[in-house]
Amino acid sequence: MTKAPDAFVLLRLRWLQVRRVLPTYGRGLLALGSLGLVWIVRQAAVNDPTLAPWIAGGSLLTVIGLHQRRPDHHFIQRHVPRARLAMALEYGVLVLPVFVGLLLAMAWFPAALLPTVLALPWMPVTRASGVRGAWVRKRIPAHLFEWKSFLQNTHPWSSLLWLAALGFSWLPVLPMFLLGVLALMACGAQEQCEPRAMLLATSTGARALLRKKVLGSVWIMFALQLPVLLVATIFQPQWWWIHALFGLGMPVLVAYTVALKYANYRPNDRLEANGANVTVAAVFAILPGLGLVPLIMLLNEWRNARANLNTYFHAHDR
Amino acid sequence: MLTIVDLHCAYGDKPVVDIPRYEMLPGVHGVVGLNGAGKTTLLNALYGFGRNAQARVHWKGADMGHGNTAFQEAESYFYPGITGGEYLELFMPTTSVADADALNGLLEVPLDALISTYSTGMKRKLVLLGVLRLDREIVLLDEPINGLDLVSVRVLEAIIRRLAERGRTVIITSHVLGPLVALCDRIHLLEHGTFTRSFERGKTEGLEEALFAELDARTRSVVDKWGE
Repeated sequence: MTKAPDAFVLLRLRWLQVRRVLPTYGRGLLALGSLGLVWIVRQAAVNDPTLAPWIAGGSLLTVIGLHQRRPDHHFIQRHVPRARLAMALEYGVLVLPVFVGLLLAMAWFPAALLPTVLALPWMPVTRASGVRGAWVRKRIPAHLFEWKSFLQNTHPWSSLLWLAALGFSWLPVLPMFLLGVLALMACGAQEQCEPRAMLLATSTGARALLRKKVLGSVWIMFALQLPVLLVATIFQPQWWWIHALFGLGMPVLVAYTVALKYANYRPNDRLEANGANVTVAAVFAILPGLGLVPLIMLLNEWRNARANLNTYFHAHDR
Repeated sequence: MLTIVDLHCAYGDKPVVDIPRYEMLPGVHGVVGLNGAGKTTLLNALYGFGRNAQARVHWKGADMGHGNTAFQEAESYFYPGITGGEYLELFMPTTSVADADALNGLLEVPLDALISTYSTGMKRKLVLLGVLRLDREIVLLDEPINGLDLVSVRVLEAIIRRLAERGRTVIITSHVLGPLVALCDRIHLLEHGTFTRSFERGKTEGLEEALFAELDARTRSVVDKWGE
């Protein structure tokens, strides 16, 4: 008769995983590392007793994070008998070196905080949707799904980049450089082509689609750079014309990228070759006095995009 | 009435679909045929997706454009990094009758989650919801049952019946005969790219024999010699 798994089943499973992943000397090193952690915690807490609450709190928060995000949570709840007790033992073993270290340092109160990890399995788990930048993407119109995808792929780094541009707007060049990086990242998001169903649902014709897409993207780019450039102009009033040229150049660059995408549109394809053209346009967009070049490129690609899209919108008319 | 006139599609020199003229009344139409018979090519050509396809398709006497038609393709592709809800926002209902959102209560697609986390069945259901939100007069469904669980198949059947009650023309292709026989007002047999026979609801005797006659003969000729 097979013995039913007890509360130590998860610990045994972890030990099995360790044995599979690490050879004998690796397991020896792991044991030494655990002892080393006890020693480090003890030394830290003895040398500076104010560190002990931070160590205990940090350890507790780490295990809370692990508990909230563990991918096997649902599986364990369904298939492991006494699942919560099994998870409690697992968390207890995780914090054991820190707990022992704090006890050895006689940091009683911080150490007393750690056994609370045993209660974590009873804490409700909030499932993360995995959707990034939810607040911002709700404000982006449905037909500009490239921008939502851009957020999904780049948030929080893109948001930090924008905040940095705003934060450093008292410096002369850096904010424009950061905005330029952001614009190029946004252009990169325009390489992916949508499926035909999405294309046809977005609009009723090529001209209307291009207008919606280009104007929408230009509007977002304007909205992104306006606060930064306004503050930068307050700090550097003599640079107003540079900021104005830059403020016109980046939206034109984004508009060109959208037109280029639809000029070469093929359902579901990723148009990686577009990157080279966008780089050329970006160079012209930032060079003073050559801002007209991307505009001419945009007008040219607009015609190509209309011709290409017409084959999809008016397929019955062939 | 949906009228197909001179629908031709060929890959190189090989003709795939060749239908000189065919008419379909409003209702549910099933298109059955073996692999390679041209079912998907036919639906693609009807919607205007078919490369190398020439077709004149009339709906109520005028040229049928995308404005009248919704198409659920056999393969589901999605833009990366967006949620199911964001995908559906594109497919705005054109009339107040379209209540596809309420149907999601039955189909249970997690609209707040990223599409990349969906199973095959969920992706199929999401595409179906988009098609229903468009609320078009002609609905083309290419293998809609593939990847769906039993509960979703029952919901789909109820939806298709309701579409027919509302005077829509639904054209379905499927490898699974059972649901088609139960659902369709008429089943059309597609062989070598052309309609050879059609069967009315309740008079589908001989459909299976007609569908598999050639295959059975070929199979017997090989299997009977096997092991000799």
